[in-house]
Amino acid sequence: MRCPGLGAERAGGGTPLAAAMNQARLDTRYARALRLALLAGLAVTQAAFADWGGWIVLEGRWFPDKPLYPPQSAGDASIALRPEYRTQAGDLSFALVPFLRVDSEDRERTHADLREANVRFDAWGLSWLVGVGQESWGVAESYHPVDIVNQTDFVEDIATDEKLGQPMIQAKRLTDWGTVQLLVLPGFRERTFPSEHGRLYLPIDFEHPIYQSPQNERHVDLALRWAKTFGTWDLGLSYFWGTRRDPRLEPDPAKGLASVYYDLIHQVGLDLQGAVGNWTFKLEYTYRDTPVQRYSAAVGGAEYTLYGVADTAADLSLYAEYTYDGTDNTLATLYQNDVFVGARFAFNDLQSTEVQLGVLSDLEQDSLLWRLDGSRRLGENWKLRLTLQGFPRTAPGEPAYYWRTDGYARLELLRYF
Amino acid sequence: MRRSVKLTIGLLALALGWPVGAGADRNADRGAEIFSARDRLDEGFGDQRVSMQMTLRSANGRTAERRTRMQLLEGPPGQGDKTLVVFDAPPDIAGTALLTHEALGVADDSQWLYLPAYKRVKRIAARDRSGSFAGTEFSYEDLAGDKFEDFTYRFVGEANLRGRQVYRVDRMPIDPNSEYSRQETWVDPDTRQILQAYLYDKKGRHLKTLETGDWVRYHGKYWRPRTLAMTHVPSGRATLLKTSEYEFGVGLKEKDFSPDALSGLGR
Repeated sequence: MRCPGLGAERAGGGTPLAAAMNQARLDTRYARALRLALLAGLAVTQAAFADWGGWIVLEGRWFPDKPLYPPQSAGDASIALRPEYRTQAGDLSFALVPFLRVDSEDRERTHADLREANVRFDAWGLSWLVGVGQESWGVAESYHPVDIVNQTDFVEDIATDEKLGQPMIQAKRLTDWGTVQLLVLPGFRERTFPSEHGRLYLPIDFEHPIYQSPQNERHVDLALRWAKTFGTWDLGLSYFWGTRRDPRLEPDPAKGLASVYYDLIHQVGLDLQGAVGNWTFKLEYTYRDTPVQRYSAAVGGAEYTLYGVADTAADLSLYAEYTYDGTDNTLATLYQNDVFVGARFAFNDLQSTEVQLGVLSDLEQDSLLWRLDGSRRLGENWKLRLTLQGFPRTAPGEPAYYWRTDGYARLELLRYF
Repeated sequence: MRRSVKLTIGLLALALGWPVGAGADRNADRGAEIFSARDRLDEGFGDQRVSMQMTLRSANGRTAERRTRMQLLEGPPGQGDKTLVVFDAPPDIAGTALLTHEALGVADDSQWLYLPAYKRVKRIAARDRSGSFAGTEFSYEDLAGDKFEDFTYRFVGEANLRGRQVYRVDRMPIDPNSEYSRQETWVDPDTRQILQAYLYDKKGRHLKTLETGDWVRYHGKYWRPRTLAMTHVPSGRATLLKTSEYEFGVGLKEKDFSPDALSGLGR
């Protein structure tokens, strides 16, 4: 186990901001990409459309149960900032979206990232994106096995929706037989994980990842996707070759921590969503060829929305999905053989009030986790968000087992610009 | 597409000796003529772009603003249009986008919603689309466009509206899954555009009232309203929509209306 004394070291290590700057993993390749993007930005300063935006958030988390690890606290406070600059002139556009979080307890959660820094333009009959970008694939609610382009910013939220910026060259073409997209991905981003001082910690040695590629994190990954609409159905087929985003976590009794392996994998994926009557159906399927195992991971389900509930303007959406992950590496997945049910209630009021509930229940093991999200806009530019997450039942060997005392309440106050 | 269905029904009726075009159908023909003329007069604009400012008023009189951009690509003859609405404000929902590929007649439109918070392009169920779009009184169906082929018509007579002599036409959605059973319309006899409409739900209840105003003619033939007010009659809630000047022929392409293009439209 890593030494609990690290906390003292951090306390003497200067301001949280300085720590953030140290933690900021803006290596030289990033700096170069940023410089290029900024130059391109200058080239379009005579833009037809330019806008600053973004948000700043004050966040508090409270963990009512006693922590499993001595260095952890009963709560934390953090502040995060995500400014956003976008400009456009004709077919040329530029985006710059940096991100910074400073956390009171966890030096790993204190981190900076470039969510986006890219130029988009049309040339040679293709739409291009060059720089750091965000590309989300997938159609389901609970789990996105096909979503493999951007790395998960796991310290932000275990819900894996927050992604790190990915350096990429993307070419896209819309043809009569569908949209074809090719991505060249130079530069791998490690998944972020909380340290032992942060809650929702996993006992893994993330500071010493083991790469299969001899080029380590400099391996150039490739991704390809084809998508087409057939009537009220959307079909996508994808292929990825490169370093896996979700590391394999192998327990190492000698270290007392699991080792983190970033294998080279092939992944083929299928995503499908369709509207039939009042229902929408979703399916994501992947087949992964990894050095240790070939397996499938998939999710499928349906959504039904009731509009104008009880003669009000409110909508109620109901979800049910089945998730499957065939990996033998149980520490790396929450979705082995699970059922997800969820409901989203949108009040459709002036303040866009919303409440969302989700429950994920394992069909094999006695394991259950749930989450409740509520949000409401205050005035024009503020927003209040409340999240409750619980791990009432967990089974040894799965990640949630290490979070069994980490159920929390999170309150966020956001100010948008 | 719808035209051929209608033709088939007409031929069938002729073969069976039904009184097509006789008596009661004269009003149907006259009503249909008024709206087919509207669509014909509006053909050929290619594409358009406009900004819209919406003021939402709750039942107790509180208000909130929404700002959106809308762009539209005219479909080839016999096919529906493609429409994209993107939110710019309030800032927490900026980038929320609704894409519609209109299908004429009974066929289901395709609609996709992009929510920046979820970063996913979601299909919207094709059938019941009576839900509010972003808290406004406009439903997904209201934003999907109204083509001649989507209704049957009945000319009711002439009426006086805001001091003008106008046509009164009832139109009934062809799609059995429409949220409306009937729409009473007040139509400008010169432009053939709807100045006012009472929208009735499936139970025959007066659900919404649409009022349009400040009509402007672009390029000598394309009429567009600068204000649209939609009132939810049972509750008194309302959304007032004011547009910027419309731009036509801005060079929009098919790829601007692809579901893949929905992400990254944020401010």
